Amino acid sequence: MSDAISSKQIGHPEPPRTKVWELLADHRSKKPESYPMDLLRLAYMELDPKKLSRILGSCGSVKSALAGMKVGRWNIPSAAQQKLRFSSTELLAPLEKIPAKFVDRLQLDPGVTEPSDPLLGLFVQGTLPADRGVAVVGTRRSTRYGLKLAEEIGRRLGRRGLLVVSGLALGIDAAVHKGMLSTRGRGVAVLGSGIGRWYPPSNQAIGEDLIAQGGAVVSEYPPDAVPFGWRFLHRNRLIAGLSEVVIVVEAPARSGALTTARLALEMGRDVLVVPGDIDRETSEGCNLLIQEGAHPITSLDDMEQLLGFRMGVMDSKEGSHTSGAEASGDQDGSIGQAERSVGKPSHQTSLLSADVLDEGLLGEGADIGSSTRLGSGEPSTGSVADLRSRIPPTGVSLEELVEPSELPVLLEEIGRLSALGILSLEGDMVYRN
Amino acid sequence: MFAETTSAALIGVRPHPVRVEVFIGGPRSLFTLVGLPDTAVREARDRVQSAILASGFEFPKRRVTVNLAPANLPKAGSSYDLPIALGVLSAAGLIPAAVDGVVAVGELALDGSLRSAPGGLAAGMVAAERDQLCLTPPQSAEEASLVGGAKVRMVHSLIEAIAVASGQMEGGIPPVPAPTLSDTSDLAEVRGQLHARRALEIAAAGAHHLLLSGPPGSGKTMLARRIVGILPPLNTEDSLEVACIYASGGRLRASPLPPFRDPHHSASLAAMVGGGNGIPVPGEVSLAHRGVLFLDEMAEFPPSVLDALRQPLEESQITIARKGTSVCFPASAQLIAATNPCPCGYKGDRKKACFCAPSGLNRYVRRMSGPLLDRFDLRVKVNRPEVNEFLDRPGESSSIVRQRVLAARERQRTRGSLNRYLDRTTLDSLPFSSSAYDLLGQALSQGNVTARGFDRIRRVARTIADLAGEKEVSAGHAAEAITYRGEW
Repeated sequence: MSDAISSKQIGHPEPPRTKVWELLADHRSKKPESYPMDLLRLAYMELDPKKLSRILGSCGSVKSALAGMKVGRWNIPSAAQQKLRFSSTELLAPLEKIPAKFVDRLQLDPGVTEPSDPLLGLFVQGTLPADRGVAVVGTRRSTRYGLKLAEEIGRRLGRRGLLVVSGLALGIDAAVHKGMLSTRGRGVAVLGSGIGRWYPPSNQAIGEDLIAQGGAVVSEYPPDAVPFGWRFLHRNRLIAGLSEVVIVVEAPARSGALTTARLALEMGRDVLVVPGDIDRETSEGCNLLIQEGAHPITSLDDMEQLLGFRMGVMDSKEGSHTSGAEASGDQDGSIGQAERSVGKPSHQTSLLSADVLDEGLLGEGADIGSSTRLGSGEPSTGSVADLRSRIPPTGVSLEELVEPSELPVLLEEIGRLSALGILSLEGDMVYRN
Repeated sequence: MFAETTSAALIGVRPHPVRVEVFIGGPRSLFTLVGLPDTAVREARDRVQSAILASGFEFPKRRVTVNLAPANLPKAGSSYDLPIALGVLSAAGLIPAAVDGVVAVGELALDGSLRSAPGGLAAGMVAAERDQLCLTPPQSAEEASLVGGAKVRMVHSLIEAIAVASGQMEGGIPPVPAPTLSDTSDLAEVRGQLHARRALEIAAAGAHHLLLSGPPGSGKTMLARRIVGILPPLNTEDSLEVACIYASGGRLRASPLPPFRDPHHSASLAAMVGGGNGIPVPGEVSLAHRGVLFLDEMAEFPPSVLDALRQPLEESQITIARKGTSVCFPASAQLIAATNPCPCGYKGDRKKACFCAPSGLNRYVRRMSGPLLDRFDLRVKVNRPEVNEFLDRPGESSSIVRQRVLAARERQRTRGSLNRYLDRTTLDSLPFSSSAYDLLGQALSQGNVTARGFDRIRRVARTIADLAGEKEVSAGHAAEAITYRGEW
């Protein structure tokens, strides 16, 4: 698969830039013993990427770049200069503490960035899977629709055994990984902060679960590197690079997710986009991408089918398999995931139980407490009983459900269902959970 | 030689009679004033002297001593001018000695005419208690006549005051203030927002604290302001108590409508809970006593100010200690707060994107402390109304809603206390159906209701049952109550 990708990369019209990739390969062949430590040292220096690429370009080798820095060339900040004198134990100690390891660029999938990108390697916590994943990205300020969808996409990808790549930010990123984790799937999070430094701190638990479930948390920045804003934009190229397909769930017109999608297109990855309401600001970016030619996802089954073709998961073993969440979906779906699908397919149980609860509840609703009040308002008995079915996925306002005079009866039913976590009410909007 | 008359002072919200004793005698022409007067009271000497001369009397050319008793009570303001002048004239034998039977307040102008001064209400209350005649300037008369049974007479000048005190003139009887119930805006103007409207009705019925959260322009403020129109009017006793609080802040309030205070979020701590130099004045939380304290943009208030509100809200009163005096003001206000869900206001909005940095968002939410948020029985999200045909439908008008609120309040009154004050033991003793308990138990076990919210839900469910006119809280009432416990 990587061959196919690099052939695409060769056609990329970027001749004048330095091929950092070739430079590193050269360095390894010439100095095999000091090679990993030199790269780690450079990574620790946290140089500005543009500057690093300039230095390496004019030096022609990693060795002469380091030598030049030692004698004060390039105007290196003093903090970085200190790193030049660190012993290898001093360089490795912080990594052992986390624990994390440094995977240099040549050990990575060559398609992870373009050849001229001055990526030295990745700091990895956990084990970085060899296969490419599906990146799911979106805004941090998502709507509940976006969150719900991201979680469901995460679950579906997880059940298919696909590697889910995201940025471990708030909002969509966190939701998709949460969904994936609930199916015991694998995922990779690419941080904009240094490895071992959780940003935002609230997502540390998700990151740790990723590692525990056989995935990885990676960063190109050394331990304790500060999560500067630009680093999050910069790491987006890695999210695209580590994936075969990028799915944009929800993105306003100015959004990091949009950058990821555009980088992915440049790198020859497929971009799938969840379309949104045209007057919803948080979907403006998604709709723009579609206008620019990205593929809109029309349903989750549609998404799974597309991914099946692209990622090669939905093949051979059960050719007749058509769409996603059939009862048998779990046994066949995930290549190399047979051992993970032991136990119950958690998503389906939860759906099932919600239905059971729902029915039980509505049956109950007719005979407890409310019966006296339902008796007084004759239209409500019918309208309230099938309440759940009357609520579209995007929610519905109270006014559309009932006459104002019937409101208390409706609120009773909504309260009943929301007590069980089936519905939720926000302002005047009722949503299905 | 000696004369005595009465005035009154309001300390905190309690009226205190102040005896004004005047003695004339001694060799030199001198005018002394004792009894803890503040500067304004001390300056009464010059005003009184010139007003007496301007009214055509002669000022006694001997030593005049005025004592304001009790001597340890600090006296403030210009309202003692009139009683002092009456006392001096009576002690000098220039007018009949009938002045000991009146309670008088008012500031004198140099030409002998009367100006309004604080103290009208206190004078009215003292006069009513002693069944005496109360003389006030016309502007203060309205205040004084709030007290049922007070014989209040409006006088325009010192001469008129003398005439009325000695029975030569009737004096004007102040008009009874007309109840003004119609001047508030109507709930019918609010389109849509069914859930928030219903929450407002429940809040009004059970006097529950209410938190409205939603993006700018969703109508939070509009809704909150309309609660006055659906609250029951104050009874005479309460309205007098409220008037007392206002009067001790130097303000007049004669309306039977429950007070509605909406301090700006730049208000200082002292402005919110009360304070001031010398004699303490009530803060917003007391001025909203028996009414509504509305905190618009609650998250913009300094956290110290918000936290200072917690204790008075819990204990329904606040004691303010200042040098020499400590005063207890009642502070049983219903709190209604409106807030944006985040600094830009659009978090969770269906259409507009929120552009707040997540860290800023955290900081914003943390400004409102958990213990304060926990005091709200009702928490409702208000979203911007969709543009659709439903908006053409006018909502129920305030007068219809008020009827239901009144009925629910009546049920609470016969039971004992307002539902906001129901504590756990009382809640346990009130009829609550077992199916309602089942429902709450289910919600509790699913984690959709917290143990902390349990009592609040029971309290709100009680109010919903009261609005429905039912004795027992049913599962339906409890279920509706759950919808007002929005996640925060």
